Amino acid sequence: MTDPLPAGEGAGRHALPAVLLHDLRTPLGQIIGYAEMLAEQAEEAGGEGQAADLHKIGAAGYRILELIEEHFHALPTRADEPVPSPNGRGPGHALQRRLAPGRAPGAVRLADFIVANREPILAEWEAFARTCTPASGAMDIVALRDHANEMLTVIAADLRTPQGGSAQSEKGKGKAPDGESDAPTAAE
Amino acid sequence: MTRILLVEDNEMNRDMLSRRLERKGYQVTLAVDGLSGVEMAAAHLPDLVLMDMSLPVLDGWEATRRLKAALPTRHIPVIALTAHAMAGDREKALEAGCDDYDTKPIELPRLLEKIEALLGGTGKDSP
Repeated sequence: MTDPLPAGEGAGRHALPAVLLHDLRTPLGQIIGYAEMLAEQAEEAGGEGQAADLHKIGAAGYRILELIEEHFHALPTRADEPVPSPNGRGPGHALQRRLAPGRAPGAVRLADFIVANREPILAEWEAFARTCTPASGAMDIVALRDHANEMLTVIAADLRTPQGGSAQSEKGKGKAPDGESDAPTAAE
Repeated sequence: MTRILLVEDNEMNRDMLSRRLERKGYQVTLAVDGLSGVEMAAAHLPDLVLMDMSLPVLDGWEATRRLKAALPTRHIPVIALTAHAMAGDREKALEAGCDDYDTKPIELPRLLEKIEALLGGTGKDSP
């Protein structure tokens, strides 16, 4: 978490990685949604007291959501600016600037980061392909994006799979894992 | 009966929202990723699509672009659903071709208003 922002928009709020905010909001939404649904069912069944209690659960969920909104804001992780042409500093440079300008993205699992930032990664990859690989001019950019998207899915899945040291070593040499692993270690 | 395709990868979100919509009288079909969402929309031609944006295989933005690029599905209204609620999300969804946008947690009355507003011009009885 960062220090709270100074005066201006979002003043006093702390920054959290967008994926963490997303992961906080998702179960909250489920608590609120199920509580409201059950409250509706209870009302229809004449269980007014039960419905009132369920509405309280929903209201508490909304209050937690309000507290999150009041005290935290997301670190920028979205592509909201035109993709600049690569300038010799590598395709990751512009992406890094767009994901987290001037600060570290925080402690996020790499697989989760890839999934949460799939669009800006693909946008940066597409810009790189268009400007730095002449052969891409003759290719179907939708098919290229699909291919890159599938690769990101495979990479994220691979990162989530615990692997032993020998499997990681083999992978580091460019060899595909054989499906067997020794004592698992953290893959990320 | 109005048919809604809900494209959502999170199982609990899918279960919760589909049940709430069915309780309101809608017929809901489900897809768990963007690619299967595009395929199911083409196969079943629902009256409306509720599209989560952070989806595996094919994200919601690209899935929407494909729906709006294909002649058989381009007329189907798409409402983007996202838990991000970040500045620019709405514009990004609309640029991808979404007809409207809503944030999670879903406030059902608000979502139902948007659904009915988009279905209002189709001449279909609702739900």
